[in-house]
Amino acid sequence: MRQGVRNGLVVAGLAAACLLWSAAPSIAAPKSRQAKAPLPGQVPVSASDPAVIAAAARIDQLILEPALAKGLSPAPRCDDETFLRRATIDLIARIPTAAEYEAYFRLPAETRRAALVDRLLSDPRFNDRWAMFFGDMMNIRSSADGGATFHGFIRDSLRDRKPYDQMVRQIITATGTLRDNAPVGFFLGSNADALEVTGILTQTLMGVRMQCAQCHDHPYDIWTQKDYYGLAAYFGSTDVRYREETGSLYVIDVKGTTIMWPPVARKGRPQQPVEPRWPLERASPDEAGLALAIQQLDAKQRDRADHQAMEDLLASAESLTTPRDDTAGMLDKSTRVIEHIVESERVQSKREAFADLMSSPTNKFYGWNLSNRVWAELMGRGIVTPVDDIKSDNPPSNPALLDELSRHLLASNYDMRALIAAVVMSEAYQRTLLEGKPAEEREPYEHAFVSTPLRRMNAESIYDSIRIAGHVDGYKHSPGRNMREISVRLRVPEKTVEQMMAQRETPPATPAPASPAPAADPAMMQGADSAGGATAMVDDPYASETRIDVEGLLAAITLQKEDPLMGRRIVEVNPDDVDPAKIAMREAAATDPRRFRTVTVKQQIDDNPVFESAMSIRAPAPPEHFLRQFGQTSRVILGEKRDTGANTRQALLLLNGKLANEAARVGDLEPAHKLLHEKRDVKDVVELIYIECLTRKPGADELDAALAMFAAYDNRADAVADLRWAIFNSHAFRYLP
Amino acid sequence: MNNGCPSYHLTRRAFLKYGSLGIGTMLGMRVGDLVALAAEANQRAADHVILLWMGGGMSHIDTFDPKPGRPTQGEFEPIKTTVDGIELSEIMPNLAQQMKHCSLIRSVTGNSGDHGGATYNLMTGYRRAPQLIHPAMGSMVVHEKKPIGELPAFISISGRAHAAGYLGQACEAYFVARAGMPDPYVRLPEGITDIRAEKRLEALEALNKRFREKNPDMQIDAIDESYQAALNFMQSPALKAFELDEEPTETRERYGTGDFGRGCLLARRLVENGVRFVQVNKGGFDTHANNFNLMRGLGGEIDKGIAGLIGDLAASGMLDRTLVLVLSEFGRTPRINAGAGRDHWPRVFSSLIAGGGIKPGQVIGSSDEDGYEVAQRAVQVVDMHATVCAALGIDHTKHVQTPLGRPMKLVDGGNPIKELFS
Repeated sequence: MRQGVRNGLVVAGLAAACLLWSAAPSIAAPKSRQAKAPLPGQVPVSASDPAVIAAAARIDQLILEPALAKGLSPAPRCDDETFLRRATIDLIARIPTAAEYEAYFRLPAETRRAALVDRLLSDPRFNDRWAMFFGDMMNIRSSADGGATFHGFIRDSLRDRKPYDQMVRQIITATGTLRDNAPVGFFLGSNADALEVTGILTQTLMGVRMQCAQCHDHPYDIWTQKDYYGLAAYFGSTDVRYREETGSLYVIDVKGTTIMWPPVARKGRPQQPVEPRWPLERASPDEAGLALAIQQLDAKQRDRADHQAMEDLLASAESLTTPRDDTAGMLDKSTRVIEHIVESERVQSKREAFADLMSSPTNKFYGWNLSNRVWAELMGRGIVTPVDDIKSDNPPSNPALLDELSRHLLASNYDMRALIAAVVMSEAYQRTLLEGKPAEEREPYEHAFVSTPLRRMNAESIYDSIRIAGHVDGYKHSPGRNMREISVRLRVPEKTVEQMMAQRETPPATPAPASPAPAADPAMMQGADSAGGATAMVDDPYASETRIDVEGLLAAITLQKEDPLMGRRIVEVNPDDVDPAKIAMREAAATDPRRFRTVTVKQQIDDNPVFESAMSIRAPAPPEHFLRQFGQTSRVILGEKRDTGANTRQALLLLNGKLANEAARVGDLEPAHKLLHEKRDVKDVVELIYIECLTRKPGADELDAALAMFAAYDNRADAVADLRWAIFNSHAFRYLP
Repeated sequence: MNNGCPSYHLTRRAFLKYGSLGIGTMLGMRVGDLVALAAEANQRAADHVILLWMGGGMSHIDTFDPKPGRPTQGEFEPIKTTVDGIELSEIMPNLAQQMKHCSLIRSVTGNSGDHGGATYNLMTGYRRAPQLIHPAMGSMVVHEKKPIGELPAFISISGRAHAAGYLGQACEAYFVARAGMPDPYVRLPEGITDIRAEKRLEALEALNKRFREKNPDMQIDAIDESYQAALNFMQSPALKAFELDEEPTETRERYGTGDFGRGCLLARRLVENGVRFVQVNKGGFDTHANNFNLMRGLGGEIDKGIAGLIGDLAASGMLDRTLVLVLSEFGRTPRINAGAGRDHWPRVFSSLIAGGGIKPGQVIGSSDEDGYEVAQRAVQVVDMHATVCAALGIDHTKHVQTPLGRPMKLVDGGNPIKELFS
């Protein structure tokens, strides 16, 4: 249930808050001294670049040779309509619009697919969509300490075409406050717990599940608990501190380590600090014997080099005692902070060492992991599956293919777009589904990547596709066309009830807009506000489809207002705890009737709903929300998969929910209305609906069926609404073509 | 899969059809008959569970485990109940009248004094782990027991249930925000008539038929089944269960007209219509300050709700087949703090259990004279979960598989409380 007063407040401050949010992460300056600078004048990658074309060709060669040897002949290339829909959903998490459809088919046939991919790679939604990919991968919760800012950092890194390994290095080596350095959000989110951080990094960035070894030797793999502690020791000096004066959290490296062996002190066996130790070469797959040798040699050399690097670091750390640029004022005030930072620079090299070892080209896991995850995201199944469990008895189904993708990624200087472009431009990506065959018969083809599997859109794509196909991303009804009276329940402070009732007697001249949820009358909200506190609330029965990230936005406002220099602790609550807390508050209010009273008021609203993009809804959304019901994860459990299974709640959301029904309903400002108004041929209307919703023209039989359907309606707008509703609910809509 | 979750009740893929068929009945039987049939099939085991969840950690001393004459007693006096020798706090006068149907467990001992950790442990029987989400008690029950009727098998009222975790989407609770409030998702959208709904479903079926022929797949069948279950749910006569206005005013007032009282009333109506597991949530027990004033208000509300529920179930005979369980995160400190509050206390706390074939009128275990520690017969959290299984005839030692094939115990150890089953 969204709180009405806040709702109005946020709607009013929404534009400002969004500006703040997108501005905040860019303040952060990369701090890591060894980070690679972005290539000067880096040219955006294009799907027609020779390197991309060559990589796509090698991908196909590596797939076709073994497949043909097994007698699996590849499925044919998909048609242009299919490619448009498939690539748009995969790259920017929504279906194409009718305008995009027309523009695509105006392009020359031989180059239109590459041109489309180029356009999608530079679409702003590309950054949101792939930030979502990393959000799932690294459990980025906009509600965790620093989570929203960290998410912004990832999105901005994508926008800036920052090489993946530079982004990763900034995350691993980040120190300072959120405002200083956005990627510290990673350590804030895990409270810099070295053991937890180790589990997350090995599983998400190398695809190796080591977390079992945190408590005992891994039951099904080679990892020992001591290996785990050796890795954790790289983060044993990293800590999260709270600075009272500014109220800010910051990440810092300190003397000593939290990682001790044995894990529990026993009699006669005192605990000793653990030295960082890199165990991963032991897991290098057999065929990479050579790589193993290189890696061991490399590690030895690195040991010596690290020694040198440490001396350099210590020397340069001295210069840091001179206050620097923008933080000068703050540093002046506290010498203790300076000491911390100097100390931090000394021991931060442990994390630098981890970043070096992990991203070394001889550490196959690193390149394999991202390549495999991106491949799985685009192709519907990984070359290693599950994607986070690479080990000797779960080898890649096609190691050469995985190597090729990794090579291409490395050669492109870890450009996500180069990797994605190569996959999408491959013939493997562009194959059709094997139609009419049962799953068992399709399986060997799909396993060999010579046909496309059934893939359901992810939750965000379903939501945003309905939103855009039904034109509820903006107003589609003229003002005043949908006036209606609704009842709004408000829980308000007792002392303001009379005041508010008095205001109700003079109805507002213009009705309040009702978007995205029925908002409370602004006049009433002011009444409640001025009487001390935003305590009114509206029960929005459709909250599980519409609610936006109110808490996050309010936090962003507070952040700017209260601490422009240092950043302030963003006090947010775990979304899974939010509502019990609110329920408790509500209940407390109910048991103390002196303070609150519920008033039901009639209100005239212009029911002209606009739905925010799924990309702007707090992630993870609350459990009963549309997005969670369609499989968005809680982002709490490491390696949690998106569940694309069906349930009754999903069906009810699409059958009777507000999004599907408002998107289906015809508005006078949308193209279909114009066709209806001009009394155009029904065929044209049906064609438009098919293009808008299914990215294709209807087949002859579908057109006949639609014409028959329209004939049964007096009101053609109703027929359009019902056809659209049926499409939004259909398998063809939610499964990629 | 051999469990009840993935498809509520359909064994074949039916054509989507709205209205005219009156799918609200199955095989010509009414839901009431189905409920009775299920009961007959398993004479000894209970069929339903109603979990009354006291969020925030309910004071044991001020409710089920009074300590008269001790420094930790607080402001409430004990009162007699319908069972000789069992006393409750004075804030539970109505429940005292139903005590003959209930037993108390005064020696539950938990392992976490933190809200998140304790809630997780009480709800799942497991401790939190980094790699897995363990299923809620309700998810476990609906995974093991076939559904009856057309309502969702697991419903959570006034707050969310814990997740289904590795048991999957289909074992998640259906969420009812506030008992008695209309749920827009179970009825057609405003302005859509039955006739138009039929046309919509016809158009949908035409599209889906084409897709299904081209792409025969179990995941497509699962979606079709979920739609059929949703349509059945929408048209089920059992949906009337949600309409609390059908109850006489006297009944509604007896349960209490707050969210919790209405939740208890709804819970009764839901189990009468075949719902396997109902969870009614009540928050606000985190009484760090002003404990006694708050508990007077909270006690008044839960007393009426629980008493109304148990009394009605007993009168109709449903109590024999319905296990009612009152659980909380933990108890509260016997010591009263400077703000007249009590803080978190997981070492010993109380639970109330009734119905489902368990032996009433007992007190299992005890806390020491001031309510600090277990004095006799410690009952672990997992024992509570094993007890629920035992009442339902579920083998609590069996294993289920996670989606990645890892075998997990249904209940993480523990034993049913045997005194309740003698």
